[in-house]
Amino acid sequence: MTASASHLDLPLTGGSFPPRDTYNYQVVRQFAVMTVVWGIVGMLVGVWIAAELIWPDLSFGLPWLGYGRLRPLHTNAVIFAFGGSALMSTSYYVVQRTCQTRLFSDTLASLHFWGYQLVIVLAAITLPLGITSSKEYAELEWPIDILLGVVWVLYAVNFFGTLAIRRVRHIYVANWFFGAFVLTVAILHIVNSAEIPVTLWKSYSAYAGAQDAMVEWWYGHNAVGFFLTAGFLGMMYYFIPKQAGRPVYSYRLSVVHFWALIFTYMWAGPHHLHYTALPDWTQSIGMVFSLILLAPSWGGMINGILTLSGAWDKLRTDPILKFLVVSVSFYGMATFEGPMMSIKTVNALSHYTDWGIGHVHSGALGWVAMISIGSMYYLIPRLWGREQMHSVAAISLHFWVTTIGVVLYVASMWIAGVMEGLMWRAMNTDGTLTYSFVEVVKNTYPYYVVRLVGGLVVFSGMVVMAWNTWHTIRAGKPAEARIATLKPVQA
Amino acid sequence: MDVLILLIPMSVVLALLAAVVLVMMSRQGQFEDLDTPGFSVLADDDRPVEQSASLADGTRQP
Repeated sequence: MTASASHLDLPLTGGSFPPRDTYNYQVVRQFAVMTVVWGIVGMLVGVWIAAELIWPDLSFGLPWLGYGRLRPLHTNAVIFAFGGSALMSTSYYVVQRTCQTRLFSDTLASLHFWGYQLVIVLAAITLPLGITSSKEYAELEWPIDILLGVVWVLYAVNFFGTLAIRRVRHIYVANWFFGAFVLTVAILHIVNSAEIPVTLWKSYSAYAGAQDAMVEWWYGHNAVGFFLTAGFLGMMYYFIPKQAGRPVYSYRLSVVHFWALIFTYMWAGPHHLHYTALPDWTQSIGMVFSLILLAPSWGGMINGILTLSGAWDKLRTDPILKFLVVSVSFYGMATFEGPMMSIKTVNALSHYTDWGIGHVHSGALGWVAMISIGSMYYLIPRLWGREQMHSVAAISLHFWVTTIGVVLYVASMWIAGVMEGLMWRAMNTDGTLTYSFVEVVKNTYPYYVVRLVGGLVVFSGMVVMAWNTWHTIRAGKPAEARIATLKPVQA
Repeated sequence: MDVLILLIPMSVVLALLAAVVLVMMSRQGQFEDLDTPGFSVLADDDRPVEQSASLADGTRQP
């Protein structure tokens, strides 16, 4: 790479500029701070319910603290509040920097931020109160669903509006992934949340029985694909090259990765409904599409990791790069495990066991959280005009703590899951079940303790991150970044 | 499973829409150069102002 300054028309000196000449870092900063805040909250609730599974009395007999009400609070907080804020922060940053233009609308950005935070706060109030549509990962009741839909449209208009006013011809690949995430999640939310209100806080799904289950998992797994995968791949394709100072290993492959993922994702959902009332052929379609997904997923994973070719030495010293690369490794593991678990015969063993919980957390903590955390460590100093985070050693500590925590979590759930699967299906010679359900529950006890320890360790890393972020922001001041015109680079 | 009458055609329509976008963008030449975009993103210097300023003055090596 040649020196980057040689491509700039204007020196990026300090001072204040007319707003259109600068990037909107304000909304990026807001979402970045909330990523850390909701990460702490969501993971704390996760740790709490992990403890409740060991000591059920921890709910103190209060319905608001019961596992059934806190579990959706945990999933909503980590996926939509923590993951969502990270996606919104990074997508607004990436779309502006790669399009060399300020956001389409500052007002929309502000409305989007505050509207989205309102949705999260409403979720945090209604879910413990037991106000729920009872659809997994879509528990919010209809007034909040409508608010979320409106806020999402603001986001979409602002994101695609920014793409439309871009000042460079080429749309960088990360924007395709972010764009697919924004658009598809809107469609998924609208279709799955079709419901008939009865009172202000109670509605019933527009679909019934197995039909409802089908729509639920069509939504649920596509949310995995477009919220938890596509969006975070957008992060991968921007922040790994930037942090490593190397271009994407194969830009061509990244474009193929995108289109292959888009065309093959939509029908993996039925693998959540193997051996249910869903027609057998629909289940098989779900399994086949899940297996096909291995190809684009691994193509992308290899592309992300090989971006480090020629820069592997940086992994020794750069904890941000460690976060990013290990997250992509977890992406590879989870996208291998997922298709395997979707095979009906494997699923017969793994479904409804803690193996599923282990799989989800290797994806959610290993892939989603680690790539978000790495991206935040890249962004936060830049957003507050600092050269780097307050403490690089603390980033390193956070990395090791997270890695150890995730491994403890995932390994304990794997063991517990396989054990449960085997004990549930064990039969005596006379055809009766060898173990009663409660015997199996009793045997999971040590693994639940290890899981709690793993979760606590991951959570403690988030506390370190909050401390580090606090000091970085306090010592810096909100940065204003001038938009430089980029001359074309000769390859 | 009446709901499949909604879900399957919807997926087909979405896939077709994606195909239309792909063809449209290809015709506009979005995917003609698949080598330089990877470098352009690195050429965008997004380091904080103080650092970039000294870089532009030539007082600091990248």
